[in-house]
Amino acid sequence: MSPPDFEQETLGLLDPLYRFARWLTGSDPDARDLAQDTLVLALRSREQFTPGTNLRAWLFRIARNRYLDLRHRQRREQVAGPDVPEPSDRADDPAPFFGDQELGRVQGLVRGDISRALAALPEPYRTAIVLADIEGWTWEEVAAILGVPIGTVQSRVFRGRRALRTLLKDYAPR
Amino acid sequence: MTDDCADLRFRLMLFRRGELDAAEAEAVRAHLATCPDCTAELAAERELDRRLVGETPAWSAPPELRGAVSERLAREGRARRLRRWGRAVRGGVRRPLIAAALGAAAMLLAVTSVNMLAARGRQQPDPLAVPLAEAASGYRRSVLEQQLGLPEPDDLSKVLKELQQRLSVPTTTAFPGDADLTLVHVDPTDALGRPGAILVYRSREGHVVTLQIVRAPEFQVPRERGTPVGRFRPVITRQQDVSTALWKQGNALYALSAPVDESAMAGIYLKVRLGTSNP
Repeated sequence: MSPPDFEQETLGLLDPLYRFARWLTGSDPDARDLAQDTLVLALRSREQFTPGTNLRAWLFRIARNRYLDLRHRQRREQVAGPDVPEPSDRADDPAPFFGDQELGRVQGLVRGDISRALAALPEPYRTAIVLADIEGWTWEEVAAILGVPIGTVQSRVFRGRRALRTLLKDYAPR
Repeated sequence: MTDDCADLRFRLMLFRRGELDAAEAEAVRAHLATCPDCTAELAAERELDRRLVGETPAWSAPPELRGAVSERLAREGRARRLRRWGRAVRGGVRRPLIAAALGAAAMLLAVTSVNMLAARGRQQPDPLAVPLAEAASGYRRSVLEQQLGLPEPDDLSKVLKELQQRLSVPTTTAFPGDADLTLVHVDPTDALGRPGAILVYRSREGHVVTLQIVRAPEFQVPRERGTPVGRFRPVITRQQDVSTALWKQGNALYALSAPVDESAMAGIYLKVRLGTSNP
């Protein structure tokens, strides 16, 4: 792929990339920054991309890693506040997302809105559901972006959907 | 709910997505026909699918983001092509410097909006065009990298020493920073279109200042182009908001860039020059 082709092709993925960045960051300005940074980083490291492989998955993986890196830095600079627990990558990890008290509080914030419910999920679960169930990606692609086995992706989607339904319980189905 | 049901729930997800083979799908259907719990579960999951697709926003990139990204990618692409061109010249047949300068000038005319040659009203290609354009591009790249907050190596002085051994670039005599200019990053890759190093400083005012160093024994900075600063004569130019001071010191070519005017650049130059002369 020649350099202008590469630029054109990555630019062609701006819409899904921005959408993904919105789901990751939760805000328009942060999503714009993340999308821009991702494309610039991709252009700079394009030698690492193998032509013929999945450019979209490669790009999204850069976006997510960049997001996690920024979030990690911000957290180091902040006094730690209450946060949803991070899942382990083990498929059988039984850690519940929310304690009983926490669940009531989050349900009150979600108010039956599916986007808010998604936003309340821990990032690995939210990302897995957004990509597999909303964007309609294959398990293989989602696994490549998250850098985990397919079984782990399926487990995250399965458990994430459980949590979504719990969060939406008193309101759904409509 | 039976043990069978618990067993089935995960497979129900694959069933819903049409990802089970015919025999497995048939087994699921047979179970559903006799199990109201699992049938209700399937209906709830399908409802969730409907809401996930139908009730979540389908954002698209704002038009101004598209414009900003195109512009930034084009800028990055230009800088990359210039760097690659520099490497190709170094790695290919040894050509006289004037031929390199001619090629670079043609490239610059084609790809940059700053037409330095026309601005100077010269007929001959300017041998300083390449290093000055590369200095500006290296500076912009460093500013961007600082904005991106790329990870820093732990021990900058160690990086500098390794670099000197690897490239015979006299970076151990590079300005180590002081109270006004803090050394924040060393990029030991390319500078001025050659293998070299970019040292990135942060000024007291928060500006990014870069010092690019390459080994260039053959390169001459024409004395008549220099501006007297103390006992030295660097070439000082300004492109848009960034000034660059270019000078030769021993075998190395140095370019110092900062977002200041020419007279402020002379001040920074003097500090850095004296700092590199008296390590």
